[in-house]
Formats: sequence, C-alpha cells, structure tokens
Amino acid sequence: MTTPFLEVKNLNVSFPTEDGEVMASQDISFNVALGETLAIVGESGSGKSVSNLAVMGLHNRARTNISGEAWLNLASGPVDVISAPEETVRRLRGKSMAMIFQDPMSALHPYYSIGDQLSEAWRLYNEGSKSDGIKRAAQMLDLVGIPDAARRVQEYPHQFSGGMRQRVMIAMALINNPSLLIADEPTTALDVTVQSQILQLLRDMQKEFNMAVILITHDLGVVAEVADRVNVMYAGKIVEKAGIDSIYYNSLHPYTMGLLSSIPRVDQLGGHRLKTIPGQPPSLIGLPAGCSFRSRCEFASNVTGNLCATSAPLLEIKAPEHASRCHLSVEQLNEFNPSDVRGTHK
Amino acid sequence: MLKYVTKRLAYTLIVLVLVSLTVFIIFNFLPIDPARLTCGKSCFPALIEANRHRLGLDVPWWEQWIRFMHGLVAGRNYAEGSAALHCGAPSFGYSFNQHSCVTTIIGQAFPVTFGLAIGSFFLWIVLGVTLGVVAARFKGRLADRLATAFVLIGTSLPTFISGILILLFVALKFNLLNPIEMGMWHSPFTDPFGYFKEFIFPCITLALAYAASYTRFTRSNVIETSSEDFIRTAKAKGLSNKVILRKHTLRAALSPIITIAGLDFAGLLGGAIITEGIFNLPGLGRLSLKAVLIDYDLPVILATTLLAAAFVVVANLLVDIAYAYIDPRVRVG
Repeated sequence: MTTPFLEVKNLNVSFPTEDGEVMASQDISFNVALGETLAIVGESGSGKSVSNLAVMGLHNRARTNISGEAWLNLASGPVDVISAPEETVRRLRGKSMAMIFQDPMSALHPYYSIGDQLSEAWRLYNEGSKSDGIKRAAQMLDLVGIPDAARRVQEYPHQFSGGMRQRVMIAMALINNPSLLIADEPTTALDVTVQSQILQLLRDMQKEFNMAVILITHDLGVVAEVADRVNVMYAGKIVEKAGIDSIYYNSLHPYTMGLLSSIPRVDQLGGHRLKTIPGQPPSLIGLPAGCSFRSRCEFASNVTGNLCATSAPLLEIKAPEHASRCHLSVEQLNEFNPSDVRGTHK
Repeated sequence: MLKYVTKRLAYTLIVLVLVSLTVFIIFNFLPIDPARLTCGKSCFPALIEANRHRLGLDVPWWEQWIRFMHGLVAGRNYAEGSAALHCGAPSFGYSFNQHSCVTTIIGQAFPVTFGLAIGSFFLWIVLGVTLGVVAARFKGRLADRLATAFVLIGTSLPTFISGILILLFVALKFNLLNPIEMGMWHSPFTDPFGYFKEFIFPCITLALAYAASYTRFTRSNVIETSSEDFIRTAKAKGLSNKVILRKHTLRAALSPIITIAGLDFAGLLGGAIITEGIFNLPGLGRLSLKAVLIDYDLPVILATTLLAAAFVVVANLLVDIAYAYIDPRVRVG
C-alpha cells in the first residue's frame, strides 16, 4: 500500500462556550491516499465538517481547541497542519489542499467576476499577469464542463445556476492542482439531476489530477456512487470505518445499519413504512459516559451487563479492513444485520 | 445602463415637480398674506394691492406655480416701468423682504452650507469607517470597547450640546477663533487659512454626530460579512487575512454605506440649522430658519424647501447609479 497523502491521528476539535465545551469531534483518525476517495458520512452535528475544517485550518484558532495531528505527506516532506504555524498552513491552502462547500449560491463573492475570482486563486501561487490568470480560469471552466467558457469567465456568480456555480467552485479549488480535495456536502444544495453530474465531474477530476478526495455527506446514495472507503460518524466520533462494499453489505455497527435501512428503496413497493432511527443525537456538551448511541440502539439490550451505559466502546478492528465502535461481537452484529440490506444491494 | 439612467432621471424630475406643486398648495392655504408683508404698519390697501400685482400674487395659485416653473427655466420679470425688476434664470422668485432675487440670496448662502457639508462628510466617513473596521477587527477587545464608547457618546450628544462645548471649550478658550470674525466670509481661494479656521469647528461638530452611527454601521456590517460563505471561500483559497479584509470583506461590507452616506450628505446640503446657528455661519440652514421664524419670507422658504428636496432626490439617483457600478447584480440583471 502506498503512503497516504493525508494522515489524521487522534484529532480532537472542541469549542468552548458559556454552557460548556462542545466536543465537536473526538479521537478522529483516518488516512486518504492519492487517487482515493474517502467518504465521511453522518448527520448534521456529527463532526464531519468540523474535523475537516480543522485539517484546512479554517477554524478561528482563538475560539477553537484543536489537538491531535494531521500530516500532509508533501513532496517536500511531511507537515503537520495542526501544529504548523498559521502562515505555513495558509500557504498550503489552495495549493496542496482545497475545499469546496455545500452552498455554491453563497460561496462565491457576488461583486467579482468568475474570472477575477479564479485568477486571484491562480495568481496566489503562480507568476503571471491578470490576463494570464483569466486565460487559465477559462481553461479550468472548460475542463469542468462549463460551455462557452471564454465568455462566461467574464460573468458574475449571479448569472450562473446552482450546478454551474458548484462547477466554478470545483474549477477554483483545482486551479492550483492540489493533492487533496475536501468536498463538504458538494451536492446537498443541488437538484437531484445536477447532483449526479457534479459527482461524475468530481470523479473525472480526481482521475485527471490524481487527488486524494474526502467527500463529506449525509447521503449514502452519494457515497455508493463515488467512495472507495467510508467513515461513519456519530456524535463527534467515527463509529465505523470500512471499504465501501463492507459498509453496504456487511455493516458492523447498529447506527450504520439503521442508516442503511432508512433509505427509501424502489424495489420494496407496498405498504412498508420507511424505517427510521428513533430519538435524537445527544448534545455534544457534557457527553455522558458509555456509548453515545445506546439510547437509540435497537440492540443495546443484547450486550451483557450494563456495558453500553458504563463504558464507551473503542473503535476496534472486527474484520479485515473494517473497524467498528460497538460492544457487540461480530457474530451478534451479523445476526442483527438486516438481510435485505445485505442481500439485495447490487 | 443609459436607459436605466434616463428612466431614473425622468422619475427624479417628476418627483421634483410634485414637490413644488405640494409646496405651492400648502402656501396657498397658509393664513399669511405675502402681499400684506410687503409693507409695514403704515400700509394702505391700495399699496398692498399694487404690490400683490407687482409680485404676481393676484392670480390663482396654479397660475403662480406655472409662472414659477417658467421663471426657473427662463428667468422672470417683476413689476413694470421704473420699478421693473429682473431675476435671471433659474429664478426662484423675488424676496420683497430682502429686496433681492431669491437665487442671489441662495447663491450667497449655498457655498457656506456646501463647505460645511463637504468638510464634515469627509471627516465623518474617514473617522466612522476607520473606527468601525478597527472595532470589527478587534471585536470584544479594548479597541472595540473604545469605539463602542465613542458611538454611545456621539449618538447621545446632540449637536446643540457638542457644538457649544466645542465652541466654548476648544475654539474660544484657546483663542482659535475670533468671535468677531465668526460668520464673516473667508474665501477658500484668497484666505484658505481663515476659511479653514471658520469651518473646522462646525465640521467637527457635525462629523462627530454622524461618525458615531457610521462606526456602528461599519462595525456590524464588517462582522456580518466576515461570517459569509464567500469569505470562508477566500480563506480556503489561501489568501492572507489582510487581502481578505481589504478585497473581500470591505468591498461587500462598505457598499451599503454609500447609500446612507449619499442621503446624509444630501440632507446636510439642505442646511445644518443648529450647527450653522451655533457657529454663526450664514448658510442655507440659517437662511431658512430666519425665513420661517422671523420674516415669513415665503419665496425663500419655497426655494430652500425645493432645493433640499432636489438634493435628496438627486443624491438618490446618484447613489443608485453608483450602486450599479459597484454591484454587478444591479448592473447586469
């Protein structure tokens, strides 16, 4: 196996507030290699964005407590972006790592033309005049599938549709050929038809630029389309990590199982009610001891003793390349895993 | 763009015509007979009627209005024979009270008000925006608190207090201003120092009052813009904080200030009644105050009202045009 480009080790991010410390993400460890796509799945507030914003250094350091490590294995040598000086991290942003965001409608500056904004990003790391930058911007727009790029480069964000703006964001993120692209819910704000186009584009761009891609999403359908590996997050922690097939066909965590069986499916017509996971995720302030998911877990009663309430499960390897944060044994988990999820997904 | 401007210009003219009509209608219902005001106690009816005719007050109000509008464009003649008077275009009428064409009177008062408005405008924009940006940048820290204190003092001190304080405890106490010379006209071209001395204190007085609200406005706009998604994008690109603030945050945060600044400036051009009064500046504010309270000088009141309205309406137009240049969402629909 090649060395991963990004290695995150025991990353903790928390925000001190008046009510107490919000433990937004805890003990996060993962790797991504060049050419590989890692999906991070979880509901709102599960810490998936927060941990990646920390990698990008986009948190306000004065108002955030960050500990742990996040190594970028650059050609010039590895850099830990968590402990590196702010200025060093800034010079990696846009060049070695780039990020695109959920809402392309508000992510572009309304007063500057697309060409201005792209060439600004390019000129930050390249010698060249503004008109060189605009030319380069047009090339990038062309690459991400915006028709008539030479003309549209002079237009403003409000003249683009949502899907086109997300293409612009991708073009801007890739203009300096970064090795890591973090896509934070890139399709959530878009129409369904546009969603798959953007996913296809991300896949194409990954091949073109041989990037490591982290795809943050709450949509398991999106994950199935593009990811190589999946991290499932719940209440600030990774609860399951595995290859894409293992997650879908052989999930080893009750939360993931719940997510999978709550996807509406066209092959199960008839009077079924859509399955849901009862309850709410816990508050991230003063998390209780034990497993964060236990109050919503269908299978907690199968664990001997009161283990779920007293001790937090560790993220342990339960099968090859497959880790899960659960007290249940692999045999028990396999037994509970709904067979329709395992059997009929193709 | 040209079409847009033409359309807005047409609207502006319509508004001004409506304002002038409204003022004429109101004056028509006032229990003041302008003709009676033309002569003192020992007046006799024949003279009043003669003056009424000479001033063109013996026709219905709408005809007076038409003559007024005509005078604005072509100038106007009053009376006949040896007493004949001519007020050249644009004629705002004739003030019997001051025995002068209103345009001449305005022409003397306006440069004073204009100087005051320009000077204080410059001061308050620089002071207000700078303090606002600094406060936003150091939110919650000492600089922010000092700026907040300034805002509090500035907004709660009316100009008739701050003006008097500045006049008594700064200008006069340190002999910076000669009380006898106050109100005398110093040309900025032949006597720039005298002009500066005369105007700096009233300008500061006005600027303090306005700068406070601009500080508050700038501060909250900068803070609000800083949390916009496009600022996060700029950060993710790798831009430095300095560039982000200068190029991305301020561009978006300061644009709305142009709107209020334009209107505030236009409002000041109509005359700063209190400040002009305190510093004895013979500007439009004092002119209209005197016309209203002492002389019942209707032609002057009419002219200053119309002018003030015109400044605001034209400023509105200019602000909208400026906005089209700044915000592409307005320019290219």
